[in-house]
Amino acid sequence: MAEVTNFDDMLRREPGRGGDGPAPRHMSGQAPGAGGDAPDRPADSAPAGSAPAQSGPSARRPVVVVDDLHVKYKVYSSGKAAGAAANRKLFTRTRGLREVHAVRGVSFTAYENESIGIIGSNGSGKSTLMRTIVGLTPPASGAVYASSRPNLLGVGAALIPDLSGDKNITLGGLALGYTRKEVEALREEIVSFAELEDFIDLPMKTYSSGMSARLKFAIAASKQHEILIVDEALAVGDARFRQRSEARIREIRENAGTVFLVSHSMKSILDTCNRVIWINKGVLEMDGDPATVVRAYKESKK
Amino acid sequence: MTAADFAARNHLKRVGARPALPSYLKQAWARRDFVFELAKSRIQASNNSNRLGMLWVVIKPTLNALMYGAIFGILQGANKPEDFPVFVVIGVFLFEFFSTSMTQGAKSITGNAALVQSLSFPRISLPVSTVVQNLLQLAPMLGVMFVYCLVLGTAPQWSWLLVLPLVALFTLFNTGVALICARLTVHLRDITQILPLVTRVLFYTSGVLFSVEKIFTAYPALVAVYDFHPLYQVLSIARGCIMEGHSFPAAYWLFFSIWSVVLFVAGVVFFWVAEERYGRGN
Repeated sequence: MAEVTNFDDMLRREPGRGGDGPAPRHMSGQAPGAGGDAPDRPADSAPAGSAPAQSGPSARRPVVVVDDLHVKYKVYSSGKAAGAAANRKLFTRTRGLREVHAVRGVSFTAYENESIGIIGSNGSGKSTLMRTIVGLTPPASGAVYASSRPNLLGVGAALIPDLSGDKNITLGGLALGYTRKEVEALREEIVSFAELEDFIDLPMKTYSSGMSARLKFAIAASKQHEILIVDEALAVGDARFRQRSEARIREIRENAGTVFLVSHSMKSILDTCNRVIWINKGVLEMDGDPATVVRAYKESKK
Repeated sequence: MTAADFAARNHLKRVGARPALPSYLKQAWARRDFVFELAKSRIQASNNSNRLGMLWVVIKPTLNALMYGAIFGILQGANKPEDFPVFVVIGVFLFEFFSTSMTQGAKSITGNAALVQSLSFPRISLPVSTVVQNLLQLAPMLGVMFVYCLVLGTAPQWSWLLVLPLVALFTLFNTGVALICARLTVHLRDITQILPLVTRVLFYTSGVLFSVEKIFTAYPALVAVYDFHPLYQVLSIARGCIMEGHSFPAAYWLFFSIWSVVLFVAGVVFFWVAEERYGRGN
């Protein structure tokens, strides 16, 4: 927990570091009931001051609609845990095939300029839900509609540890959809943000975990997004880099229309978000004002 | 009002929906730099840790050609095709392009699960990148192949240049095969277990190491079947263009062009149809 506490300290100090001012700590006037009636939600209760660009209640433009979303995985397990499957012979066709119903009928609507925190215990389906929102995991039923393709903040999987940081910037940038020209224009900024000027020509596998996390973050964060999903990506690197990456996230967030933040740190959720969705065992348990939802979530953990 | 109506009224589109084929191909074309960079990076990464580095790209097929040449040279005795060393070098080097494209192409989606699940781009980029990677490795191999041909006493001719359009067609052909195998493997992982056997069977039956006319003189029907065997056609055309005293029916160019285009188009469509499927966990 020391790590998280430390991180929270960073967050608390961060608003003083310039920019457009602190994100609202506590929102009022927005407390939609829990449940899956999102599309029919009255569009009149605009959160006060959720973002500088907010101009009035009529400007609440929906950008993401999640409609009765179900996601299932079929997994080959050892067979033991599958109960009846344990008795079957090796070559029966259903050997240890388990279906994991990770997301069970989640519905909500996200509006422009909202920062939505996603909370829930490990394995509750948060990450699956986010991957489905960006279209990486296909839903079993239901659908996600969005004004533009949402993006996950991350690029790690595209990089090759055997290659130098410099080459990985090219590769990662192209993987994110930049042209070669754009990569060249951003290269210096990425290197200096990651603070890897002296090591950028060394293979990435020789980097410490903090260094490669910094590089990955710097590449991923170089892009502006209309709808952005940040999955626990804030907590990378040492304390100082966290502070800078947090500032960068804020910057991206202010430019992005809508941000989803998946985190286990209630402090950072409360600091950053003006709406919180609590996912429990694949079901949307509660959706609304951060303080209320976080309190209810903490109650349930006792 | 349903959520779909609500979404439509607010100009929202369904996420992850498979785009129409033309716009899919356009998106894929926009990622061509990524495809090329990924192919290049993989080659560099795979050879970085070896002492001889990139040299292995040519050393490995050379050793293969030496081994197969020696064994099959002895086994076939008098039935050996003319100019046997050159015959084997051309066969082994070109077949390598096909077999690696097929086996690596088959794994291009399943073997990159993390990449597929974290970034959105047209998935066709991955199998295509694998074929590009093999094409890039073929280039130095072709250079070395021509050097071997010279050393082994084949006089250079203008028809050597015809190998270039042949490789272009062969690349289309291999891309089609890689795309089909990539999708099949997503549905059924077990295919990666059977593919090495398939490549080996094809290796021993496509006339890589023997002359079909000489070995199958007793079975003219079987020889006729080889007129429609795409891999045999590639090797025949290549040998006809490079070597003296080896000829092939001109119709092979036509046959193989048809094979390549049909397989390429079929592969692209077959792969595209399942585009929404590739991100799933299994």
